[in-house]
Amino acid sequence: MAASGAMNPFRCSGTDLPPNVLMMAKLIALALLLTNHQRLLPDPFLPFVPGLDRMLPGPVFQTLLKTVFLTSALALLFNRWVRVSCLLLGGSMLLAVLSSRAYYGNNKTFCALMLILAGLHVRGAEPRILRWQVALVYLGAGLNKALEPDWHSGQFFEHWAGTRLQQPVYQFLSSLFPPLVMGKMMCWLTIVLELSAAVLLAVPRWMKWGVIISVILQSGFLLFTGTTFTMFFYGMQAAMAVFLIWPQQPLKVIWDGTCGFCAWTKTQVERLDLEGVFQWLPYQSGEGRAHGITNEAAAQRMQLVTRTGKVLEGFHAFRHMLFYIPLFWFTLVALIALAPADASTWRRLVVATTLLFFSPLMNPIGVAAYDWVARNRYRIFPGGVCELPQSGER
Amino acid sequence: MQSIARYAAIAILLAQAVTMVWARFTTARYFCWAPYDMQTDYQLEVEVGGRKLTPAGIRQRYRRPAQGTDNRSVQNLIDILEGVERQAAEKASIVMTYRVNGKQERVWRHPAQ
Repeated sequence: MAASGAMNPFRCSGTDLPPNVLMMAKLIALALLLTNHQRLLPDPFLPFVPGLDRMLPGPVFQTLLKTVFLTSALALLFNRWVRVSCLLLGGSMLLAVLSSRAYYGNNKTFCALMLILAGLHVRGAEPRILRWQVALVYLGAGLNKALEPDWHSGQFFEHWAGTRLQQPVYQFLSSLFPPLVMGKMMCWLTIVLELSAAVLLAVPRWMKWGVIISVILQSGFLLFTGTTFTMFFYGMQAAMAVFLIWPQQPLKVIWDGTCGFCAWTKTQVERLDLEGVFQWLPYQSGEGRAHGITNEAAAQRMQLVTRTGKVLEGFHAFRHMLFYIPLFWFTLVALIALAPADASTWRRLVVATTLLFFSPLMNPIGVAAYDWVARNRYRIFPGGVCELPQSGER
Repeated sequence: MQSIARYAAIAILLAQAVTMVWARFTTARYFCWAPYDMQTDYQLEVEVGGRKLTPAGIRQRYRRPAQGTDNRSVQNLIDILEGVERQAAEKASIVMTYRVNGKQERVWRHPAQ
Protein backbone atom coordinates (compact mmCIF):
# COMPACT_ATOMS: atom_id res chain seq x y z
CA MET A 1 0.00 0.00 0.00
CA ALA A 2 1.38 3.38 -0.93
CA ALA A 3 2.11 5.67 2.01
CA SER A 4 -0.10 8.41 0.56
CA GLY A 5 -3.01 5.99 0.31
CA ALA A 6 -2.45 4.75 3.85
CA MET A 7 -2.69 8.31 5.20
CA ASN A 8 -5.86 9.08 3.28
CA PRO A 9 -8.31 10.24 5.98
CA PHE A 10 -11.23 8.75 4.04
CA ARG A 11 -9.68 5.31 4.06
CA CYS A 12 -10.52 2.80 6.81
CA SER A 13 -8.72 -0.36 5.66
CA GLY A 14 -5.11 -1.48 5.81
CA THR A 15 -4.56 -0.62 9.49
CA ASP A 16 -4.32 -2.55 12.74
CA LEU A 17 -8.09 -2.24 13.27
CA PRO A 18 -10.96 -3.80 11.27
CA PRO A 19 -12.40 -1.28 8.77
CA ASN A 20 -15.78 -1.03 10.51
CA VAL A 21 -14.19 -0.39 13.94
CA LEU A 22 -11.85 2.22 12.48
CA MET A 23 -14.76 3.82 10.60
CA MET A 24 -16.65 4.13 13.91
CA ALA A 25 -13.63 5.66 15.66
CA LYS A 26 -12.94 8.08 12.81
CA LEU A 27 -16.57 9.20 12.61
CA ILE A 28 -16.46 10.06 16.32
CA ALA A 29 -13.07 11.79 15.92
CA LEU A 30 -14.36 13.78 12.95
CA ALA A 31 -17.46 14.90 14.85
CA LEU A 32 -15.31 15.89 17.84
CA LEU A 33 -13.03 17.98 15.65
CA LEU A 34 -15.74 19.57 13.52
CA THR A 35 -17.82 20.56 16.55
CA ASN A 36 -14.66 22.04 18.13
CA HIS A 37 -15.12 19.84 21.17
CA GLN A 38 -11.64 20.63 22.47
CA ARG A 39 -12.93 24.02 23.68
CA LEU A 40 -15.08 22.17 26.23
CA LEU A 41 -12.21 20.17 27.76
CA PRO A 42 -11.96 21.32 31.38
CA ASP A 43 -9.41 21.96 34.05
CA PRO A 44 -10.03 19.79 37.13
CA PHE A 45 -13.17 20.73 39.04
CA LEU A 46 -14.61 18.52 41.79
CA PRO A 47 -13.12 15.37 40.25
CA PHE A 48 -14.70 11.94 40.63
CA VAL A 49 -11.24 10.54 41.28
CA PRO A 50 -9.69 12.21 44.33
CA GLY A 51 -6.35 13.83 43.66
CA LEU A 52 -6.86 14.60 39.97
CA ASP A 53 -7.15 18.28 40.91
CA ARG A 54 -3.83 18.20 42.76
CA MET A 55 -1.65 16.45 40.16
CA LEU A 56 -0.90 19.51 38.02
CA PRO A 57 -1.85 23.19 38.00
CA GLY A 58 -5.29 23.53 36.36
CA PRO A 59 -4.19 25.40 33.19
CA VAL A 60 -1.30 22.95 32.62
CA PHE A 61 -3.66 19.96 33.02
CA GLN A 62 -6.13 21.52 30.58
CA THR A 63 -3.46 22.37 28.00
CA LEU A 64 -2.03 18.84 28.17
CA LEU A 65 -5.50 17.36 27.79
CA LYS A 66 -6.25 19.51 24.73
CA THR A 67 -2.89 18.71 23.16
CA VAL A 68 -3.34 14.94 23.53
CA PHE A 69 -6.96 15.21 22.38
CA LEU A 70 -6.15 17.14 19.19
CA THR A 71 -3.01 15.20 18.32
CA SER A 72 -4.63 11.80 18.74
CA ALA A 73 -7.81 12.84 16.88
CA LEU A 74 -5.75 14.03 13.90
CA ALA A 75 -3.49 10.95 14.02
CA LEU A 76 -6.57 8.74 14.00
CA LEU A 77 -8.07 10.55 11.02
CA PHE A 78 -4.82 10.13 9.09
CA ASN A 79 -4.53 6.42 10.01
CA ARG A 80 -1.42 6.91 12.17
CA TRP A 81 -0.98 4.48 15.10
CA VAL A 82 -4.73 3.94 15.07
CA ARG A 83 -4.91 1.71 18.13
CA VAL A 84 -2.81 4.05 20.30
CA SER A 85 -4.65 7.07 18.88
CA CYS A 86 -8.01 5.55 19.86
CA LEU A 87 -6.72 4.88 23.38
CA LEU A 88 -5.31 8.40 23.74
CA LEU A 89 -8.36 10.18 22.32
CA GLY A 90 -10.79 8.10 24.37
CA GLY A 91 -8.47 8.29 27.38
CA SER A 92 -8.24 12.08 27.23
CA MET A 93 -12.04 12.35 27.08
CA LEU A 94 -12.49 9.89 29.95
CA LEU A 95 -9.87 11.75 32.00
CA ALA A 96 -11.76 14.97 31.31
CA VAL A 97 -15.00 13.32 32.50
CA LEU A 98 -13.37 11.91 35.64
CA SER A 99 -11.63 15.17 36.47
CA SER A 100 -14.63 17.50 36.25
CA ARG A 101 -18.23 17.16 37.40
CA ALA A 102 -19.00 20.22 35.28
CA TYR A 103 -17.82 18.42 32.11
CA TYR A 104 -19.35 15.06 33.03
CA GLY A 105 -21.99 13.83 30.62
CA ASN A 106 -23.28 10.54 29.29
CA ASN A 107 -22.53 11.54 25.69
CA LYS A 108 -18.85 12.24 26.39
CA THR A 109 -18.46 9.12 28.54
CA PHE A 110 -19.99 6.98 25.80
CA CYS A 111 -17.71 8.36 23.06
CA ALA A 112 -14.68 7.96 25.35
CA LEU A 113 -15.50 4.34 26.14
CA MET A 114 -16.19 3.41 22.51
CA LEU A 115 -12.81 4.85 21.51
CA ILE A 116 -11.00 3.09 24.36
CA LEU A 117 -12.69 -0.23 23.56
CA ALA A 118 -11.75 0.24 19.88
CA GLY A 119 -8.14 0.68 21.00
CA LEU A 120 -8.40 -2.50 23.07
CA HIS A 121 -9.99 -4.48 20.23
CA VAL A 122 -8.40 -7.89 19.94
CA ARG A 123 -6.89 -8.51 16.50
CA GLY A 124 -8.92 -10.91 14.36
CA ALA A 125 -11.88 -11.03 16.75
CA GLU A 126 -15.44 -9.88 16.14
CA PRO A 127 -16.05 -6.47 17.82
CA ARG A 128 -18.38 -8.14 20.34
CA ILE A 129 -17.27 -6.06 23.32
CA LEU A 130 -17.98 -2.85 21.41
CA ARG A 131 -21.43 -4.23 20.55
CA TRP A 132 -22.07 -5.13 24.19
CA GLN A 133 -21.06 -1.60 25.18
CA VAL A 134 -23.82 -0.17 22.96
CA ALA A 135 -26.32 -2.74 24.27
CA LEU A 136 -25.32 -1.87 27.85
CA VAL A 137 -26.04 1.82 27.28
CA TYR A 138 -29.54 1.01 26.03
CA LEU A 139 -30.09 -1.41 28.91
CA GLY A 140 -29.06 1.23 31.46
CA ALA A 141 -31.13 3.95 29.80
CA GLY A 142 -34.21 1.73 29.44
CA LEU A 143 -33.99 0.35 32.99
CA ASN A 144 -33.51 3.75 34.57
CA LYS A 145 -36.53 5.13 32.76
CA ALA A 146 -38.62 2.04 33.56
CA LEU A 147 -37.92 2.56 37.28
CA GLU A 148 -38.74 6.30 37.36
CA PRO A 149 -42.32 7.19 38.40
CA ASP A 150 -42.36 10.27 36.12
CA TRP A 151 -41.69 8.01 33.15
CA HIS A 152 -44.56 5.69 34.14
CA SER A 153 -47.02 8.56 34.38
CA GLY A 154 -45.86 10.42 31.27
CA GLN A 155 -44.98 13.49 33.39
CA PHE A 156 -41.39 13.57 32.08
CA PHE A 157 -42.37 13.78 28.42
CA GLU A 158 -45.27 16.16 29.06
CA HIS A 159 -42.93 18.61 30.79
CA TRP A 160 -39.94 18.12 28.47
CA ALA A 161 -41.72 18.18 25.11
CA GLY A 162 -44.78 20.23 25.98
CA THR A 163 -43.41 22.86 28.34
CA ARG A 164 -39.62 23.01 27.91
CA LEU A 165 -39.25 22.39 24.16
CA GLN A 166 -42.78 23.55 23.26
CA GLN A 167 -42.62 21.04 20.44
CA PRO A 168 -45.52 21.98 18.16
CA VAL A 169 -46.21 18.46 16.82
CA TYR A 170 -46.25 17.06 20.36
CA GLN A 171 -48.45 19.88 21.63
CA PHE A 172 -50.94 19.30 18.80
CA LEU A 173 -51.08 15.52 19.32
CA SER A 174 -51.24 15.93 23.08
CA SER A 175 -54.26 18.22 22.74
CA LEU A 176 -56.18 15.39 21.04
CA PHE A 177 -55.94 13.18 24.14
CA PRO A 178 -56.76 13.58 27.85
CA PRO A 179 -53.92 15.09 29.95
CA LEU A 180 -50.72 13.04 30.18
CA VAL A 181 -51.94 10.31 27.81
CA MET A 182 -49.66 11.40 24.96
CA GLY A 183 -46.78 11.82 27.42
CA LYS A 184 -47.38 8.34 28.79
CA MET A 185 -47.44 6.83 25.29
CA MET A 186 -44.16 8.55 24.35
CA CYS A 187 -42.47 7.57 27.63
CA TRP A 188 -43.42 3.91 27.31
CA LEU A 189 -42.55 3.86 23.61
CA THR A 190 -39.06 5.13 24.48
CA ILE A 191 -38.67 2.57 27.29
CA VAL A 192 -39.81 -0.31 25.09
CA LEU A 193 -37.58 0.76 22.19
CA GLU A 194 -34.50 1.21 24.40
CA LEU A 195 -34.93 -2.14 26.15
CA SER A 196 -35.68 -3.86 22.83
CA ALA A 197 -32.53 -2.34 21.32
CA ALA A 198 -30.49 -3.59 24.30
CA VAL A 199 -31.66 -7.18 23.77
CA LEU A 200 -31.55 -7.18 19.97
CA LEU A 201 -28.09 -5.60 19.73
CA ALA A 202 -26.65 -8.20 22.09
CA VAL A 203 -27.84 -11.19 20.02
CA PRO A 204 -25.93 -11.60 16.73
CA ARG A 205 -28.93 -13.08 14.91
CA TRP A 206 -31.14 -10.12 15.82
CA MET A 207 -28.65 -7.26 15.77
CA LYS A 208 -29.86 -5.94 12.41
CA TRP A 209 -33.20 -5.12 14.05
CA GLY A 210 -31.40 -3.57 17.00
CA VAL A 211 -29.49 -1.31 14.62
CA ILE A 212 -32.72 -0.26 12.89
CA ILE A 213 -34.36 0.59 16.23
CA SER A 214 -31.27 2.47 17.42
CA VAL A 215 -30.97 4.51 14.22
CA ILE A 216 -34.68 5.38 14.25
CA LEU A 217 -34.55 6.28 17.96
CA GLN A 218 -31.50 8.54 17.69
CA SER A 219 -32.71 10.12 14.45
CA GLY A 220 -36.12 10.56 16.06
CA PHE A 221 -34.58 12.45 18.99
CA LEU A 222 -32.75 14.75 16.57
CA LEU A 223 -35.84 15.31 14.43
CA PHE A 224 -37.89 15.97 17.57
CA THR A 225 -35.49 18.41 19.24
CA GLY A 226 -33.26 19.62 16.41
CA THR A 227 -30.17 19.02 18.57
CA THR A 228 -27.46 16.36 18.66
CA PHE A 229 -27.35 16.19 22.49
CA THR A 230 -23.69 17.35 22.29
CA MET A 231 -21.96 14.15 21.08
CA PHE A 232 -24.65 11.55 21.75
CA PHE A 233 -26.18 11.55 18.26
CA TYR A 234 -22.78 11.25 16.56
CA GLY A 235 -21.46 8.65 19.00
CA MET A 236 -24.50 6.41 18.87
CA GLN A 237 -24.92 6.59 15.07
CA ALA A 238 -21.18 5.99 14.54
CA ALA A 239 -21.37 3.02 16.92
CA MET A 240 -23.69 1.28 14.47
CA ALA A 241 -20.60 0.67 12.28
CA VAL A 242 -19.43 -2.03 14.69
CA PHE A 243 -22.55 -4.02 13.82
CA LEU A 244 -21.72 -3.87 10.11
CA ILE A 245 -20.09 -7.12 9.06
CA TRP A 246 -17.27 -6.15 6.73
CA PRO A 247 -16.87 -8.55 3.77
CA GLN A 248 -13.76 -10.75 3.86
CA GLN A 249 -13.87 -11.14 0.06
CA PRO A 250 -14.67 -8.38 -2.46
CA LEU A 251 -18.35 -8.06 -3.31
CA LYS A 252 -19.02 -8.75 -6.99
CA VAL A 253 -20.71 -6.01 -8.98
CA ILE A 254 -22.03 -7.30 -12.30
CA TRP A 255 -22.38 -4.47 -14.80
CA ASP A 256 -22.89 -3.78 -18.49
CA GLY A 257 -19.37 -3.62 -19.90
CA THR A 258 -20.44 -2.13 -23.23
CA CYS A 259 -22.17 0.95 -21.83
CA GLY A 260 -20.31 4.24 -21.53
CA PHE A 261 -22.52 5.58 -18.74
CA CYS A 262 -21.99 2.39 -16.74
CA ALA A 263 -18.22 2.67 -17.21
CA TRP A 264 -18.33 6.27 -16.03
CA THR A 265 -20.39 5.25 -12.95
CA LYS A 266 -17.96 2.41 -12.26
CA THR A 267 -15.02 4.84 -12.37
CA GLN A 268 -16.73 7.24 -9.95
CA VAL A 269 -17.61 4.49 -7.46
CA GLU A 270 -14.09 3.05 -7.70
CA ARG A 271 -12.70 6.45 -6.75
CA LEU A 272 -14.81 6.35 -3.59
CA ASP A 273 -14.17 2.66 -2.89
CA LEU A 274 -10.90 3.22 -1.06
CA GLU A 275 -11.33 -0.05 0.82
CA GLY A 276 -11.44 -2.14 -2.35
CA VAL A 277 -14.74 -3.69 -1.32
CA PHE A 278 -16.15 -4.02 -4.82
CA GLN A 279 -15.00 -6.21 -7.70
CA TRP A 280 -16.52 -5.00 -10.97
CA LEU A 281 -17.24 -7.74 -13.49
CA PRO A 282 -18.94 -7.20 -16.87
CA TYR A 283 -21.93 -9.48 -17.34
CA GLN A 284 -20.61 -10.25 -20.82
CA SER A 285 -17.83 -12.23 -19.13
CA GLY A 286 -20.44 -14.70 -17.86
CA GLU A 287 -19.41 -14.17 -14.20
CA GLY A 288 -22.96 -13.43 -13.12
CA ARG A 289 -24.33 -16.81 -14.15
CA ALA A 290 -22.58 -18.52 -11.24
CA HIS A 291 -24.83 -16.44 -8.98
CA GLY A 292 -28.01 -17.04 -10.96
CA ILE A 293 -27.87 -13.66 -12.70
CA THR A 294 -29.12 -13.80 -16.27
CA ASN A 295 -27.64 -11.62 -19.00
CA GLU A 296 -31.08 -10.06 -19.48
CA ALA A 297 -31.29 -9.01 -15.83
CA ALA A 298 -27.72 -7.65 -15.82
CA ALA A 299 -28.35 -5.75 -19.06
CA GLN A 300 -31.30 -4.02 -17.39
CA ARG A 301 -29.77 -3.17 -14.01
CA MET A 302 -26.45 -3.38 -12.12
CA GLN A 303 -26.33 -6.51 -9.95
CA LEU A 304 -24.57 -6.85 -6.60
CA VAL A 305 -23.73 -10.15 -4.94
CA THR A 306 -23.79 -9.45 -1.18
CA ARG A 307 -21.60 -11.03 1.51
CA THR A 308 -24.26 -13.69 2.14
CA GLY A 309 -24.65 -14.50 -1.59
CA LYS A 310 -27.94 -12.63 -1.96
CA VAL A 311 -28.29 -10.75 -5.24
CA LEU A 312 -29.46 -7.13 -5.14
CA GLU A 313 -30.16 -5.18 -8.29
CA GLY A 314 -30.38 -1.57 -9.43
CA PHE A 315 -31.33 0.95 -6.77
CA HIS A 316 -31.17 -1.67 -3.98
CA ALA A 317 -27.63 -2.63 -5.02
CA PHE A 318 -26.51 1.00 -5.16
CA ARG A 319 -27.97 1.72 -1.71
CA HIS A 320 -26.33 -1.37 -0.21
CA MET A 321 -22.94 -0.32 -1.61
CA LEU A 322 -23.07 2.94 0.35
CA PHE A 323 -22.73 1.05 3.65
CA TYR A 324 -19.16 0.17 2.68
CA ILE A 325 -18.11 3.63 1.52
CA PRO A 326 -16.85 5.53 4.61
CA LEU A 327 -16.64 8.79 2.64
CA PHE A 328 -20.44 8.80 2.43
CA TRP A 329 -20.75 8.64 6.23
CA PHE A 330 -17.95 11.20 6.77
CA THR A 331 -19.82 13.59 4.49
CA LEU A 332 -23.05 13.13 6.46
CA VAL A 333 -21.27 13.82 9.75
CA ALA A 334 -19.68 16.94 8.26
CA LEU A 335 -23.03 18.19 6.94
CA ILE A 336 -24.53 17.95 10.43
CA ALA A 337 -21.51 18.95 12.52
CA LEU A 338 -20.53 22.00 10.48
CA ALA A 339 -24.00 23.52 10.70
CA PRO A 340 -24.28 26.39 13.20
CA ALA A 341 -25.78 25.58 16.60
CA ASP A 342 -29.07 27.26 15.68
CA ALA A 343 -29.41 25.47 12.32
CA SER A 344 -31.85 22.89 13.64
CA THR A 345 -33.88 22.91 10.41
CA TRP A 346 -30.79 22.01 8.39
CA ARG A 347 -29.88 19.15 10.76
CA ARG A 348 -33.45 17.85 10.63
CA LEU A 349 -33.42 18.03 6.82
CA VAL A 350 -30.15 16.09 6.50
CA VAL A 351 -31.24 13.40 8.94
CA ALA A 352 -34.78 13.10 7.55
CA THR A 353 -33.49 12.81 3.98
CA THR A 354 -30.97 10.13 4.93
CA LEU A 355 -33.54 8.20 6.95
CA LEU A 356 -36.01 8.36 4.07
CA PHE A 357 -33.37 7.29 1.54
CA PHE A 358 -32.61 4.10 3.48
CA SER A 359 -36.24 3.35 4.35
CA PRO A 360 -38.56 1.09 2.33
CA LEU A 361 -40.64 4.22 1.59
CA MET A 362 -37.94 5.27 -0.86
CA ASN A 363 -38.05 2.00 -2.82
CA PRO A 364 -40.71 2.92 -5.42
CA ILE A 365 -39.12 6.30 -6.18
CA GLY A 366 -35.56 4.97 -6.06
CA VAL A 367 -36.32 1.99 -8.29
CA ALA A 368 -38.25 4.16 -10.77
CA ALA A 369 -35.45 6.75 -10.93
CA TYR A 370 -32.74 4.12 -11.33
CA ASP A 371 -34.69 2.26 -14.01
CA TRP A 372 -35.33 5.48 -15.95
CA VAL A 373 -31.61 6.25 -16.00
CA ALA A 374 -30.79 2.61 -16.85
CA ARG A 375 -33.24 2.59 -19.75
CA ASN A 376 -31.86 5.84 -21.14
CA ARG A 377 -28.19 5.24 -20.40
CA TYR A 378 -27.15 4.99 -24.06
CA ARG A 379 -28.91 8.29 -24.74
CA ILE A 380 -27.33 9.98 -21.68
CA PHE A 381 -23.85 9.01 -22.90
CA PRO A 382 -24.29 8.85 -26.70
CA GLY A 383 -21.27 7.31 -28.33
CA GLY A 384 -19.82 6.56 -24.97
CA VAL A 385 -19.51 2.87 -25.60
CA CYS A 386 -16.41 1.56 -23.95
CA GLU A 387 -14.24 -1.39 -24.65
CA LEU A 388 -15.30 -4.60 -22.94
CA PRO A 389 -13.03 -5.02 -19.93
CA GLN A 390 -11.20 -8.24 -19.28
CA SER A 391 -12.79 -10.76 -16.94
CA GLY A 392 -11.83 -10.08 -13.36
CA GLU A 393 -10.99 -6.43 -13.95
CA ARG A 394 -11.72 -4.29 -10.93
CA MET B 1 -0.87 -8.40 25.37
CA GLN B 2 -4.05 -9.38 23.53
CA SER B 3 -5.48 -11.09 26.60
CA ILE B 4 -4.66 -8.06 28.78
CA ALA B 5 -6.59 -5.90 26.30
CA ARG B 6 -9.53 -8.32 26.40
CA TYR B 7 -9.58 -8.40 30.22
CA ALA B 8 -9.31 -4.60 30.38
CA ALA B 9 -12.26 -4.26 27.99
CA ILE B 10 -14.36 -6.72 29.98
CA ALA B 11 -13.44 -4.90 33.20
CA ILE B 12 -14.74 -1.66 31.66
CA LEU B 13 -18.09 -3.31 30.91
CA LEU B 14 -18.31 -4.91 34.36
CA ALA B 15 -17.54 -1.59 36.07
CA GLN B 16 -20.53 -0.06 34.27
CA ALA B 17 -22.77 -2.94 35.33
CA VAL B 18 -21.72 -2.23 38.93
CA THR B 19 -22.45 1.51 38.64
CA MET B 20 -25.84 0.73 37.08
CA VAL B 21 -26.76 -1.39 40.12
CA TRP B 22 -25.19 1.15 42.52
CA ALA B 23 -27.33 3.93 41.05
CA ARG B 24 -30.46 2.11 42.25
CA PHE B 25 -29.38 2.75 45.85
CA THR B 26 -28.51 6.46 45.52
CA THR B 27 -30.28 9.59 44.35
CA ALA B 28 -27.34 10.66 42.14
CA ARG B 29 -27.03 9.26 38.63
CA TYR B 30 -23.36 8.90 37.69
CA PHE B 31 -22.01 6.47 35.07
CA CYS B 32 -25.26 4.49 34.99
CA TRP B 33 -26.52 5.54 31.54
CA ALA B 34 -29.40 7.74 32.57
CA PRO B 35 -29.19 10.44 29.90
CA TYR B 36 -31.97 13.01 29.83
CA ASP B 37 -34.06 10.95 32.26
CA MET B 38 -34.87 13.89 34.53
CA GLN B 39 -35.35 17.62 33.95
CA THR B 40 -34.51 19.94 36.82
CA ASP B 41 -35.47 23.58 36.33
CA TYR B 42 -33.65 25.55 39.00
CA GLN B 43 -32.73 29.01 40.24
CA LEU B 44 -29.82 29.78 42.55
CA GLU B 45 -29.46 32.60 45.03
CA VAL B 46 -26.08 32.78 46.67
CA GLU B 47 -24.65 35.03 49.34
CA VAL B 48 -20.99 35.14 50.24
CA GLY B 49 -20.02 37.21 53.28
CA GLY B 50 -23.40 38.98 53.24
CA ARG B 51 -22.93 39.96 49.58
CA LYS B 52 -25.28 38.56 46.93
CA LEU B 53 -23.48 36.96 43.97
CA THR B 54 -24.37 38.09 40.46
CA PRO B 55 -25.33 35.44 37.83
CA ALA B 56 -21.78 35.77 36.43
CA GLY B 57 -20.34 35.25 39.91
CA ILE B 58 -22.50 32.16 40.43
CA ARG B 59 -21.37 30.70 37.10
CA GLN B 60 -17.75 31.34 37.98
CA ARG B 61 -18.08 29.74 41.41
CA TYR B 62 -20.12 26.62 40.48
CA ARG B 63 -19.62 26.40 36.70
CA ARG B 64 -23.37 26.30 36.33
CA PRO B 65 -25.72 29.12 35.28
CA ALA B 66 -27.62 30.88 38.05
CA GLN B 67 -30.84 29.81 36.39
CA GLY B 68 -31.39 26.95 34.00
CA THR B 69 -32.24 23.34 33.40
CA ASP B 70 -30.12 20.36 34.28
CA ASN B 71 -30.91 17.21 32.36
CA ARG B 72 -29.93 14.82 35.11
CA SER B 73 -30.80 14.04 38.69
CA VAL B 74 -31.00 17.14 40.89
CA GLN B 75 -28.57 15.36 43.23
CA ASN B 76 -25.82 15.78 40.60
CA LEU B 77 -26.34 19.55 40.83
CA ILE B 78 -26.48 19.48 44.63
CA ASP B 79 -23.20 17.51 44.67
CA ILE B 80 -21.53 20.34 42.71
CA LEU B 81 -22.86 23.04 45.03
CA GLU B 82 -21.86 21.13 48.18
CA GLY B 83 -18.50 20.12 46.71
CA VAL B 84 -17.57 23.74 45.99
CA GLU B 85 -18.63 24.83 49.47
CA ARG B 86 -16.56 22.08 51.12
CA GLN B 87 -13.45 23.43 49.40
CA ALA B 88 -14.22 27.17 49.47
CA ALA B 89 -12.27 29.39 51.84
CA GLU B 90 -15.15 31.84 52.09
CA LYS B 91 -18.37 29.90 52.65
CA ALA B 92 -21.62 30.78 50.94
CA SER B 93 -25.25 30.40 51.83
CA ILE B 94 -27.27 28.99 48.95
CA VAL B 95 -30.98 28.87 48.29
CA MET B 96 -31.96 26.75 45.31
CA THR B 97 -35.57 26.68 44.19
CA TYR B 98 -36.23 23.89 41.75
CA ARG B 99 -38.82 21.74 40.05
CA VAL B 100 -38.19 18.19 38.90
CA ASN B 101 -40.01 17.35 35.65
CA GLY B 102 -42.27 20.38 36.07
CA LYS B 103 -43.81 19.21 39.34
CA GLN B 104 -44.21 21.21 42.57
CA GLU B 105 -41.53 23.73 43.51
CA ARG B 106 -39.02 22.68 46.16
CA VAL B 107 -36.36 24.56 48.05
CA TRP B 108 -32.89 23.31 48.95
CA ARG B 109 -30.66 25.31 51.28
CA HIS B 110 -27.02 25.20 52.15
CA PRO B 111 -26.09 25.09 54.92
CA ALA B 112 -29.16 23.05 55.85
CA GLN B 113 -31.46 24.83 58.33
